Amino acid sequence: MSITVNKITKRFGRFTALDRVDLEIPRGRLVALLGPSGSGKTTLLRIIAGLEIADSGVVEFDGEDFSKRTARERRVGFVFQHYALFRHMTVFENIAFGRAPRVRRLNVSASG
Amino acid sequence: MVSAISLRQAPAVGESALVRRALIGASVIFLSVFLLAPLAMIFSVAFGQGIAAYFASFRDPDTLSAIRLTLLAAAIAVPANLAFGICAAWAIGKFEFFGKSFLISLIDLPFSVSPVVAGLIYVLLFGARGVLGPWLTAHDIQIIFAVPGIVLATIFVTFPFIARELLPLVASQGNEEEEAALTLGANGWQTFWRVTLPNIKWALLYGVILCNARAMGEFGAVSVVSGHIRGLTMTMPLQIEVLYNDYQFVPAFAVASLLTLLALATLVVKSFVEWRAGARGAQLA
Repeated sequence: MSITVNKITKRFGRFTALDRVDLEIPRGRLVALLGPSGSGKTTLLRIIAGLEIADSGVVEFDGEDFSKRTARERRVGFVFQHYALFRHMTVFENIAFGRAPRVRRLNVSASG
Repeated sequence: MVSAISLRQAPAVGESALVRRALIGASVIFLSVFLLAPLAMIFSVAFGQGIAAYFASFRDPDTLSAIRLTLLAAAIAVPANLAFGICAAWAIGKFEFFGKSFLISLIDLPFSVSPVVAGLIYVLLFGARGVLGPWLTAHDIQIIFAVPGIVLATIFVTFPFIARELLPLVASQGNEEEEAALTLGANGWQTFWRVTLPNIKWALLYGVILCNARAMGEFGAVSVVSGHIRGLTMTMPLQIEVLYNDYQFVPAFAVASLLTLLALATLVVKSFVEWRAGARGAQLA
């Protein structure tokens, strides 16, 4: 799946985190975003994943505009800076959570 | 390094045995006089004329109706404030919006306003000569000097308990777990039930306990809107006052002992919740 970021702008109050950013990630390519802290790497990733809404600009997956879709519909895998493990769940439940929301009830049980 | 630490700590905790005993003794005497003695008095007067007289107090229909009304008011006020508390804590803890600090101070208002004033507000709003009075009379709805007024006053007074308990926790936990759940495909409802609620459940329970204790014990606000109609608009605290003023000491203190038992039960549950929450925190640390 290719990802196209087109003129994304995001402001937090008076601070402009992203200013008309363009980015093209072709299918199957491994891309790293580098930059000093506060340069907008996380913000851009969060906008692509749908966790943040851009003030203007378009995010396309395979040429289709996903800007208005929810994080749930985008199905973007995301590793958080602090891992965001679910505190109240076991390791098994943490891993199984990726399936759990899509199946009505979790019938698998951890063995051993 | 080790010696430096021990040198610094030794004088700080090394009060002489005499000072320590004097301080502990003073606290124990203070607590006994101001907390334990009144508590013991309630039960000693309630049982002063025997167990039969104690239980006879609860056969009075007015007293029974007061107990029922208190339970009803708490049964409505606590869930109402539970829903409100979660909504408010969620909105304030997770989002930035205009007027947020105003909303926080507004939630605290019932803490800072005298309960009597709170009751008066409702009388001025819903009373026969109040702002909405004529409309309510025209539609045959009675709020003041009736059960709805008591429920409203109770809700107002217990408003901040759950929200206040949840706010710091929700704010400190941040959004990451919810966001992770969203990217893993959970919808809002699933995220709330499976991620948010399990994370706040102990604080939530703690807030509910405190809210319930206050809802059942509230006197001032309820007293203003109740109208003191025996058997109809009396709650337990009001009933205690009326019985006491009628020189019916055994029934008055018998009802008081019920409220006291509720307070003691609240303390036990509260300690249990704190212990569980603490154990949970230690486990994660």
